[in-house]
Amino acid sequence: MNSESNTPVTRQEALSALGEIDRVRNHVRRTLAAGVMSAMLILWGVIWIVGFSAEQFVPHAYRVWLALDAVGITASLFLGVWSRKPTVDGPSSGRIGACWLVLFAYAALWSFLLVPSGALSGPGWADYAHVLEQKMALLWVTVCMFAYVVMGLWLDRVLLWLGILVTVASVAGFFFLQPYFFLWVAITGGGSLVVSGLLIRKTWGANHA
Amino acid sequence: MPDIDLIIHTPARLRIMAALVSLEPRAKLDFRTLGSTLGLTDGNLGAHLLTLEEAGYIKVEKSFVVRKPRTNVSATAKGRARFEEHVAALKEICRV
Repeated sequence: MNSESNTPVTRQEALSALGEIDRVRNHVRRTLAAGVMSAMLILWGVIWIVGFSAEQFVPHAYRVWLALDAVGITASLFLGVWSRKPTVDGPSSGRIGACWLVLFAYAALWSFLLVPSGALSGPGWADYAHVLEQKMALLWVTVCMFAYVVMGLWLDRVLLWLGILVTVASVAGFFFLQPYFFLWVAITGGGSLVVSGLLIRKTWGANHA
Repeated sequence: MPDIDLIIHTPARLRIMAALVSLEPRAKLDFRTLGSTLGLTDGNLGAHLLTLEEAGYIKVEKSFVVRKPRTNVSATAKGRARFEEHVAALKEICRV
């Protein structure tokens, strides 16, 4: 069969073919991302809801966070290994997970660097520590939502708008809902992770391209 | 002006190539996943894969994993180049 041809293809056929190519490419990307990503999002969404709620209501909540982070990291590693499907063999698999890990590593580094090491005591420290905790929470939420926006540009516009919406809601909560800020983040940040995880599980990879 | 590739232009083969090219260059897709993703039956998919393989656009590798047969499919460098050329030709037609 001769693979090259000057057979006329109408503009309408060409447009339709290009549309089909975009649709298939997008569907494949989503299908490959769906499994492990939805599980991770639900896991960390629940962790955020519990952790930030604890920050709102429990003194010394950092102990709760340490336990939750240990559970989250162990479960993430387990999910990463368990969900390695034999469907794709090559560098595509796990790349999104690796991006999240790199982003979390940077956020952890920034969290460490931004805490002022020379001012851990003194009369004004208690008040400042409370604000600092809120700023750290805001840093993690916005970093996570930054990843949402990037994924949204790549995979699904729903994630993009969700990322923007939660970022705006969290920043607004920081300035206008200070007394209930952690509870606000638990609902908007943690809730959005759980909802988007469920959404991805339900819609991506479920239908044919 | 880039040419329309008749082998790729068939709707099913266009979708197969689009799916395989959307993977990273060295990545392979499992036969079953490819079929279920595109909504093609095994027989239909197998026939189109054979055509693409004969043209040198894809590589089909059969192996056994835990005593179960597995078929992996990937786009070759030639297939990727021809697909990009085909897409360029389609875009060119749209511009006219």
